[in-house]
Amino acid sequence: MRRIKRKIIVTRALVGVLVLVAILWSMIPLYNVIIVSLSPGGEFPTKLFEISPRLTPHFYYKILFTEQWSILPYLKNSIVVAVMATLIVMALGIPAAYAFSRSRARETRLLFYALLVFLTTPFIAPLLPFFLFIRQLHLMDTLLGIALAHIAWNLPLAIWLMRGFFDMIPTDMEEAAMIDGASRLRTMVQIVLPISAPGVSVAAVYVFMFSYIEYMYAMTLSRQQSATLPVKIAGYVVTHMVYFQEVAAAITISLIPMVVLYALIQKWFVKGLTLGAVKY
Amino acid sequence: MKRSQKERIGNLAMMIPALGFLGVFFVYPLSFVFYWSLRNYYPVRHRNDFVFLDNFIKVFGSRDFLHALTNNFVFVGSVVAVTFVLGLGMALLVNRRFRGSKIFSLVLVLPMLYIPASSAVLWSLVYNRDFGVLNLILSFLGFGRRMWLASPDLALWAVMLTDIWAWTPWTFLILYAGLQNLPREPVESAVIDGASSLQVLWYITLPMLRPVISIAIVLKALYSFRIFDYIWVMTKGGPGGASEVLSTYVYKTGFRQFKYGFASAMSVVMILISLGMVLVLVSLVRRAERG
Repeated sequence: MRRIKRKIIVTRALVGVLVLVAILWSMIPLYNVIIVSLSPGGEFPTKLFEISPRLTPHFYYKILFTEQWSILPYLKNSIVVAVMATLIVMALGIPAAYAFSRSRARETRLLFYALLVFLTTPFIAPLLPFFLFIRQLHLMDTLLGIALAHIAWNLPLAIWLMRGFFDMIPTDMEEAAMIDGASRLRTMVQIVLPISAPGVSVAAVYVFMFSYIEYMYAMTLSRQQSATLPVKIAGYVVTHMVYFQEVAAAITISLIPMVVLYALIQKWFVKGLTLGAVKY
Repeated sequence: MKRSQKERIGNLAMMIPALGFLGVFFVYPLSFVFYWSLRNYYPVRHRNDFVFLDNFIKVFGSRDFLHALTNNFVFVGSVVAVTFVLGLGMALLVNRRFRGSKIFSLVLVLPMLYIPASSAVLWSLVYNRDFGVLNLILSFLGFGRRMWLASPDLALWAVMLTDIWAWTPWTFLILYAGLQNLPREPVESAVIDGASSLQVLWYITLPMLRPVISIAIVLKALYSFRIFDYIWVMTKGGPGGASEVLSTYVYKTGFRQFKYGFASAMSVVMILISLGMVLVLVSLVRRAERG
């Protein structure tokens, strides 16, 4: 009896230690950034537990509200691009995914696996010709140009995910509607869409998140005007690495939208990922 | 018109906008990559002669390319392995469902919620020689400070650590969801039969988790192969090409040296490697599921 009790205590202690280590692992970089962002003037902590007594939120004000430093325009850019990309991907992708799901033709199955090619293409590969193409269309440094890139990359994934969701919905009601003479499009909108709303929302959230965090194309296709948040923050490493506190404040602020988004979609996040992917 | 014909046309009509868009904005640019890879395309010098596979021969003979290729595979291999092990550990830990485990899992997920480019800048600060936490800890423990991102030996590993830190939550979430969906009876009957927790883990839990593990590994490997953000923001492939990977090397060759033909040939090689990776990994998965 005593041996089992001791084993339980040892296990509990071990678990406790591991939990502590995991928490430190996650939080230490954030701790570092927050301390730096709150440090005044030219004082940075140079020893581990040294925190200046004169902490100031000054740099957060600077990063948000000063005209020269504010990251809000870039946040706006990111959101506009992400919303555009999400809306268009959904508008194009939902009908396509539905058609792929309901179609019985052999050709469509081949076509669907062709989407796999898009999913495995490295991001860098079409970057150069895409960049030249966007320049030709006079869309350089526009939010639309960046959105087009995001749509092109997200559409295959969205179609793949959503087809998986549509596959799970039985076709009886659609059959009935079709016999009554409704067109495919009408059946989709009025019958299938309300049922598959959760699945479709998961795909939409994925598209939004991918667009929000995307860096390579946003960097290549933007100059001053249309820089998105990732591009702007990454730019700090080159241009503003002297102003550590401002950079640190910007990083902390940019965390907030993602935390909010994650809190909202927590439940669906993994469900959507594994569901679509298992359909190999 | 027969109903099935009406169906078919309806289906096709619904697919065309999406496929059309992909055709214009994906296939069209991508076709240029293949086209240029076969030519000696230097737009600056107005050269565009057909050289067939010459570019590919040059690619595999290029020491810089092979160095980037090695770095890339080292990156993928290490990152996938470590994120898997750590993610599994976290999933098993949270699976114990102790008090506060919900908040705990939120804390664990935090690294993933940074924009990758933002994580990169964050870790640039962490690696800073003067006030970066890493050096602070090292000097606290009595070791010397280092310039992590500026030393050729450490740069790649430093970037790898950032990727691991940022993406372990992702593996954790997938594996945890998998653990949640496992049936309880096999584990319970094994415990009744007297198996230790390690034995239960190795002989029962992990084999049942195999499909989920495969997904996590394949997706992470595929994504890590294309790594760009962290390297570009933290070191740009430096110092002196020490942390160069395929994506950064192709980017520099195309956008800075304007060697479109050479860069395109490398892109084609990357595409083929990617496809190969997927086919190999998926077949391994299928075989594991059957066995």
